[in-house]
Amino acid sequence: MKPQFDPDRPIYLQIAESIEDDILQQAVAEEEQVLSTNQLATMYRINPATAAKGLNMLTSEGILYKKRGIGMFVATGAVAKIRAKRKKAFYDNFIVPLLNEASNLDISKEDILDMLNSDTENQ
Amino acid sequence: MMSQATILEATQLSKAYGSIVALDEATLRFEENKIYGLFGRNGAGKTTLLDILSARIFADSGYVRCFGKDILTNPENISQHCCYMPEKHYFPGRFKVQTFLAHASASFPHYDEQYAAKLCQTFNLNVEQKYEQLSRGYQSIFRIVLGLAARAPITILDEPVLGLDAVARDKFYGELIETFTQNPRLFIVSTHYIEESADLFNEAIILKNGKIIRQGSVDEMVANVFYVSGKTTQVDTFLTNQTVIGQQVVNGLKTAVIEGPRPQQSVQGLNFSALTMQNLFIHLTSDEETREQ
Repeated sequence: MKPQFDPDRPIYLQIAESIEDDILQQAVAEEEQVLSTNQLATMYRINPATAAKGLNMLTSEGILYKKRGIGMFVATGAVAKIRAKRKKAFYDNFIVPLLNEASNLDISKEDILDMLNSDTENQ
Repeated sequence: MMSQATILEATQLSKAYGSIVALDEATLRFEENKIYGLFGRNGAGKTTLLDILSARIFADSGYVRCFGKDILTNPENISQHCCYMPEKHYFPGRFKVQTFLAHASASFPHYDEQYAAKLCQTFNLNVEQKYEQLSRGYQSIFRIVLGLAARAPITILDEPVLGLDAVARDKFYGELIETFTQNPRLFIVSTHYIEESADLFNEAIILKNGKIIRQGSVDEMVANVFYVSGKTTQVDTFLTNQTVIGQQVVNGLKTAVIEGPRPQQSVQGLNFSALTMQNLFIHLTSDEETREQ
């Protein structure tokens, strides 16, 4: 299995994000083990150094922790940490591109608000 | 990151065949426990370089050191620690695959017979077949089996996926990473399949007309280059004082490739985007682009 990576962003970040997604969507619970560097590298067909960089980033942020000789585990409180981090990035990652595309398409802020309010109708 | 020892190094290697310069003062360092990708167009000098690194042929000038010693005065460092699977090889065709595999430990002291058997299964290689009966793809698979199972501290694979279908190529990438994580060693792999293999490598080397034009981490190489596009006049203003490695104008719209970190701030009317390793390779090695500059 090899999912397609986004060429616009470093792969180690995308590895870290996919682990965060698994944690947010409760595919892995807090205090459960995540895939090792070598497992990630083999699964995604990437250099182990890249996989390690992704895991190290999450370790330094306190989202994962290392049990010596066993592997990497999801820290208690990881879900809250990821949410806090992603909420900060939400404006830059989602609102800014939304407003840019809206301006390309001549969609006003009022139109956007209408869309958000009528969201339930569309689904 | 721990710094790792350089175990193979080439200094100022040159090689000419008559008036054709195959390799032009190539200087390279290879560290232990890393996977290097060697990219170059047909005729760029990849095979010549690999042939010289593995003491299969000799350079006209320059030298190669393996574990710190010149390979001409200390050939045993290469013969004992290096497994080279050239693209063109001279296995006697009338022998069966299993005959080669049975005698592989004579050539490769670290040869792992069980692993070879497992690889034959993974790739559906029929060991009863004679080498000359193997298709182009299965000849490549045979070289992959020997190259990986040799477990040599220095493993050089020249176009290992030549003639392989997409499934077999994917299997090779998986096996390469798996054996690398279990028994870390130096791999040098040349390939034309840059897009699908670039993420495997710690470092990439780009050869053009016998010269090494880039060597470094794949991440850093692609992070240090970007596209800018927009109206030609606006793009041209932006290009002042930038290192431009390629550009194209279509209908008053210009796209340029710039060397340097991608701007963090957006610029009104300009579009910035990333290059893949393959994009970068094409821009650096395409002859047309050179003529424009």
